[in-house]
Amino acid sequence: MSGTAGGSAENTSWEGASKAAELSGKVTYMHSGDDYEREMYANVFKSYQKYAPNVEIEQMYVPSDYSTKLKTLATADNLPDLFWASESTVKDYNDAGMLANMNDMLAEYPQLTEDIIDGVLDFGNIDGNQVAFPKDWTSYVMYINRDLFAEAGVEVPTNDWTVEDYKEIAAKLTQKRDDGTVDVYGTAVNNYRADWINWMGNYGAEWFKDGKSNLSSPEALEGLKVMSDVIEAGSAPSPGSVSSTGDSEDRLFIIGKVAMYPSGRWVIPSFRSECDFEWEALEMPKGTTRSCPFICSMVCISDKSENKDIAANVLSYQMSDEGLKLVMESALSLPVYSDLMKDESFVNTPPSADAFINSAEYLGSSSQLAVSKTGKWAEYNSMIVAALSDAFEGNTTIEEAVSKIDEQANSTLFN
Amino acid sequence: MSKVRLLNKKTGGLTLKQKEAATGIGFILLPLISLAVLMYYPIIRSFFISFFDWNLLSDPVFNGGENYKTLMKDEVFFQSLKNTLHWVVMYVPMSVITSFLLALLLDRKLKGSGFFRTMYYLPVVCPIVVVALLFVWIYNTDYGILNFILKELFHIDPIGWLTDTRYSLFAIAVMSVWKWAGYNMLIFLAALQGIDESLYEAAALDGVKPMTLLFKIKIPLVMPSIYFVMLTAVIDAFQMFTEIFIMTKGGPGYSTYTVSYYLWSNAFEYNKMGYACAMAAVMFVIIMVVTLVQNKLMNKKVQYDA
Amino acid sequence: MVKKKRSNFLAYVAVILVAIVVILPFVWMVVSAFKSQRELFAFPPTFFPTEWKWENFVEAASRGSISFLHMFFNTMKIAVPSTVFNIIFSSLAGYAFARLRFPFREKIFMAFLAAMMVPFAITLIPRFLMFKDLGFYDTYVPLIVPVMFGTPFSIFLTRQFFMTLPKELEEAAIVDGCSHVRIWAQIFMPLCKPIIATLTVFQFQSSYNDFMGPVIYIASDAKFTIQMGLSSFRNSFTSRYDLIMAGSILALIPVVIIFICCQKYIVRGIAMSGLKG
Repeated sequence: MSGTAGGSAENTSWEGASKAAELSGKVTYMHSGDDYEREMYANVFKSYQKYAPNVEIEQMYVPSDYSTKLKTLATADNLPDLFWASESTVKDYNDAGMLANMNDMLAEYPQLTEDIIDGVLDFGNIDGNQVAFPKDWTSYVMYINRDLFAEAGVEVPTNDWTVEDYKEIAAKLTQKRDDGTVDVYGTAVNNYRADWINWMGNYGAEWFKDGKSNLSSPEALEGLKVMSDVIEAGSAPSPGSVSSTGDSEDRLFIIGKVAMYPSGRWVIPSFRSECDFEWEALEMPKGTTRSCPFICSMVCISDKSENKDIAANVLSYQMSDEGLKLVMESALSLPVYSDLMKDESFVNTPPSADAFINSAEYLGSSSQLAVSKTGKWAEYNSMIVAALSDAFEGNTTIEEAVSKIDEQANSTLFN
Repeated sequence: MSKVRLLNKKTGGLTLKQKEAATGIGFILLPLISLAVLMYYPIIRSFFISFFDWNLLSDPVFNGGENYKTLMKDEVFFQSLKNTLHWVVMYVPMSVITSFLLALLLDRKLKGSGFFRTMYYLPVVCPIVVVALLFVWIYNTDYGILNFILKELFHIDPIGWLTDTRYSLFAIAVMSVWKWAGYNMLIFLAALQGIDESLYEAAALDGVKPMTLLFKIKIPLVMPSIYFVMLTAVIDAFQMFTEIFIMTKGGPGYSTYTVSYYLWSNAFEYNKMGYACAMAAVMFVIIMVVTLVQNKLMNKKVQYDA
Repeated sequence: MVKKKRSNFLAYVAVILVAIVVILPFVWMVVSAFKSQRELFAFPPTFFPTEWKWENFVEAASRGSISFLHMFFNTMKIAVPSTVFNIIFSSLAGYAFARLRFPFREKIFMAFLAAMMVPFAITLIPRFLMFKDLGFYDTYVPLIVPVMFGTPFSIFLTRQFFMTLPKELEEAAIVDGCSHVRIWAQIFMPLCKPIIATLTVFQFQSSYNDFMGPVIYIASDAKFTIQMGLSSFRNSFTSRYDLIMAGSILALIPVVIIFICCQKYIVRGIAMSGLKG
């Protein structure tokens, strides 16, 4: 699998090139994301059209309220030919008959699944049918501000650090004035599924077990406690104190008010252009074990599409080395192919790629996979967000929060 | 008399009366069709959907009164109702008193009152999205200007306006008072200015004290406006969505879930369309009851004043 | 007299204090819009930006897949027809309810009034299905049609106003054989400028500020409205308060202009509508 930048069927390693030349028609491709991504995909489509001069791709970019938009389109019987769907919504969409079965496409384009990272296909596979294809993924890592470490005289940890180290370092990095004003927080906490799944997973929690919510299991609780502990210790702002909906932590990292911050790869472009200090990415600290949440946008093909052939060809190009290179350049996400993970032109630096490469080894968990197949993620997610926000803001304890979640979820959703 | 005769005169086969009726119906025809098709038909259809299990994507499945049964056991729904009620109890007096005081203030024919009136009305024309985003920023616990001012002036420790369950709803209510006071003020101002001058003159002759004037004349006479403002506030409480969607997403916990927000989440996030419609039906009934009760009270009050 | 003067002085102090409370959030919005990100999160906060970053406005206006100006024109395509037709149809209906006798007049009027009490969430879903079935998904039709043929509030307001006008006004015209359309157009409408101004502001503002409607009905980004553009700034993980504030100010300008043009009529408009005691 090596790609050249060429644009003709002769000098490309992309398997779909000759078919592309024969295709003609129009497909619509809908995606979310931000402006960077819009431009990136515009590039991918432009370069695809060099192979497929008779194919027109209409790009539909939806900056906010993506799933509302997708559902209304589905209801309106107006689905785009290709669209993104988060791994947690695939089941719903499949049940509604929106998704085309991709098994034949995978057979037609073997490069699609060659060298693919273990387990990533499972999230788009329902009862043996591949109905969604993971276009990329992002692991969760800890970003650190090296300058603030130096300032506090704290040594930058190595990838084998533990949760105990993390808490201790977070406390050391926090700079508090006598009047209680905090100038620098050691770390930050997001009330976001990737964060909880990560921390719970690092204690080997089976937080969704036998079709039931199991957040009050000791392992899950221990994982979630990492988050509430750093808040209680004053080493992290409560997620709501930064913004009531808890989504500004990356800003605080960029302006040097937070020294360590767990997040996905998608923050890298803005960190690169906006951070005026040395920064690095580490693996998430180890609890009793490690487990990385699978955060991914899947590409789906509408079952109603009249141009599934073209759609499959576009998908195959997007996933080819050539197409992926255009996307991975931005460092918003990671390739799903293990050989490309080690290739610097796909996983570029800074930050160093180790944390990302290593995290592919412990990607995904049975709990996350099971819950994504219930089709009730959205509602379950709201329950967890609601109860945990109460705990993180100090209105209840974390123990109360998890038992409330389990009770509520198991009596209404998973009964 | 001439009018009566005219009305009975035939013009082109129709009496004038018939012609007038035809014109009247002609004038209201399009609004009436629009009302029937876009208001009443959706209400009926929504009620119909409330008896189905429907995820918006697949075909609806009839499930009898199951949605209503679930609703009666739904803690979050009751919490949302409770929040809405809590909101009404908190917001309505704050809003009515503030706007009424503003109206009293501007009713004194001060120089430049037109300028102040315009200024007070400014928040009303602001997009709610803008206002909500602005107040998220002002209310920010760590970096918001409000906590900074409180700390500098009164040495008050930072308050989690939108994150502490004790304050979140209150903080949104204060924002709404700021946003809507100008509108309600205008309604009160119009009512105050509609009071017959001679009443004031008579009161002045009798040596009535300003306070007595306020409570015995002004307030009773603007009572219908006060009812109008209150009723609107109650209905708006059930409508409240955008503020929540932008500012808190219902959190922390369920402390700022409103009925509209929960309904929207069910319909568009959890794909439970039938369930959302059942919620809408219950909400409709509640609003009708509130309106009827308020109407009754209002009629009584007005008769009493007359 | 002295007492009166003193109470007037106190009243001035009060109106000015209130004005400050009203205006302060706007001032904060403006100064925040000019700050750098770092300064936004500075503690203690600075009031005026140390460096006025005009770039924020440029970035706010050009971010997103279509320009701010484009979104502005899109919004106008909804707000202008909604407002203009709403005023015409509402005042015609208001005229009919106030002046013309026809069967079930009071009952029909009540049906309009009752509709004022119905929250949008109740009609949202069936309306969506209906417009989608008619093929109006991703057009402005679902955003214009529900208001263009008159809304209960506008009809109510014009009816209340027309009721206060003396009957003699149109009697002579009727005797002369004038049609009701002419009476409405040539006698009543010129008299109700304040109502028209009030409705213009209300209707324009509610179309312009509508957020849920476009989110639900509009799919292609070329058709995005200003409110959608604003909310996309708030995309998760990219909260940029500097840009949000700058964008908000840009979004505010058109409504504020319309309001200032119409403001002198508005109190009269509400007063005339008979919402008084």
